[in-house]
Amino acid sequence: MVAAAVHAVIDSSRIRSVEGMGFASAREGPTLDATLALTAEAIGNLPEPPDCPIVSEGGEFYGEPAELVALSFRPDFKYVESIGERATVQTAHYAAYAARDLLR
Amino acid sequence: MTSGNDADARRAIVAKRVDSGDADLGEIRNLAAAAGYEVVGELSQSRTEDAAFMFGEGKVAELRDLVIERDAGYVIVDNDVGPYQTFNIGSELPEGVEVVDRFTLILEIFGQRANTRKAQLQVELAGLRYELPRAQAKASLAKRDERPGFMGLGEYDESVERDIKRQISEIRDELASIAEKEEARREKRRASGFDLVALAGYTNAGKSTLMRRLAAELDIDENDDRHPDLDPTAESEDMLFTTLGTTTRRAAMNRRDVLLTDTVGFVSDLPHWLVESFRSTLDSVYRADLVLLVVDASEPVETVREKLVTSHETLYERNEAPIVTVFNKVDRLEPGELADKRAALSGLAPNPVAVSAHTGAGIAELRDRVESELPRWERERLVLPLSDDAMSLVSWVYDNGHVNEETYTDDQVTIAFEARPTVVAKARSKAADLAAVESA
Repeated sequence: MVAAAVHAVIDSSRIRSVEGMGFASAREGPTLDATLALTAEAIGNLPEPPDCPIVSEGGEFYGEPAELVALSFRPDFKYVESIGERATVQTAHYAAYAARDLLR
Repeated sequence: MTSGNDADARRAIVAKRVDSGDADLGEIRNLAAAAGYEVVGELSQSRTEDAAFMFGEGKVAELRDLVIERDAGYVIVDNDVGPYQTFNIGSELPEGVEVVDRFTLILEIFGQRANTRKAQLQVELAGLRYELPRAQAKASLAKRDERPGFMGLGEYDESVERDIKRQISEIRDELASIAEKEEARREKRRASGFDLVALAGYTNAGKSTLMRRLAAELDIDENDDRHPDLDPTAESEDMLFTTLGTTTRRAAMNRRDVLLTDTVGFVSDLPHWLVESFRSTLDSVYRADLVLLVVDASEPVETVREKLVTSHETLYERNEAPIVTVFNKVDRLEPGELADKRAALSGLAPNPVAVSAHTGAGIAELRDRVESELPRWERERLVLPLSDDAMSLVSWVYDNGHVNEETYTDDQVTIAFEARPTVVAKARSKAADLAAVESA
């Protein structure tokens, strides 16, 4: 598995700037715990530790409630809401795919 | 069987299942009322989904008793009920009682309100897409009872499935050709200097009322008779989906010529295929120069958040224009409430404009904001030789842009103006042609 974290400054409908990216990979199977740990590692690998909420798509953590997923992240966690957030998550998807191709 | 199936007395029970917490039946009641049902009872359950019945079996028995007691002809379920679940619930209910799910209900409302060819096609397309997996399920259910052998290899209902697929593709083609025409019309309007602004938002956010507030007297669309809530003398209806077709009007702004389009409201939990069926209606939002995302600010902050998320979800991927969030109905807010809501929703709606389409408060600010968010105009200054052709160019510039200065000397006219980049480019090339004629 490969995870990519994208740290971006956004407004409600677009990305203003990308501040940094972090990556992590693991050989483990896609369990909830492994996915959470991998995501936390990717966030830890960002150039600057973010002070904004961590955002992901609903399906990323097997549809688990945000409050449960939030226990693994700091400072805060939520699922995507605005168009800007969706666009950022999309960027992270592209980055993760590209990273996976490089690792092959 | 029961009198409940009479067209004029469509008595219905609304039911909803939620995984946990309390079920909110408010929206489904409103939807049912909008479709012309009389809600005579309601039922909710908090449990995980039952694969066979959606609800627990005990709840289904309770539902049957309620249907009989209230003499209802319809059961409206506010969940994504699968074809087999519909069949199973239906077989537990008294004969003749219809099970209607959220999507069928919305399609029914759309069907009642669809007045244009495009809207009718869209409703038909959505209906067929809904019907397709159900026809497949019916064929599969029918096959279970069939045995191979004499008369056993009938057509089943698979021919229905093929028919549906064929119809879907025909309607798609027709809709595509309508969409092309509309795109051409949008381009024409843009080319003649209009900026296109679309009103988008959850259903019942007050888009049509806001439209009426912003619109100038001049009507430019032939659809008005099909859009009764735009009639200035009509009372605003507290009703879902009063707008189904799009209506475009010229908006009174200070400098820019703006065409304002009112669109169908968004609804949550709609499956992708249903949104897709209404794509060409939503195109007027996706292809606008600016989107005004209207929300009813008088609702609780969590409801507003959910509705904003639904709107963003619908707009995501296709929308290219900047979005300005408009907090409508602020006349209903307590003092201080607006500031709290602004703060709570700052991530989804940074810097919203607060208005009351009803009282007219904030409308002037909204106009200013619209003008400041529209694509920038370029400034240009042209010096033209005085001639008839030059005068027609000057009047063309007046039509398509904003003239700041116009001065005449004996043999020249100087015109300084602002306009969208394409208009400026066209004016330059026209001016160059004039100069070429002059020097020739």
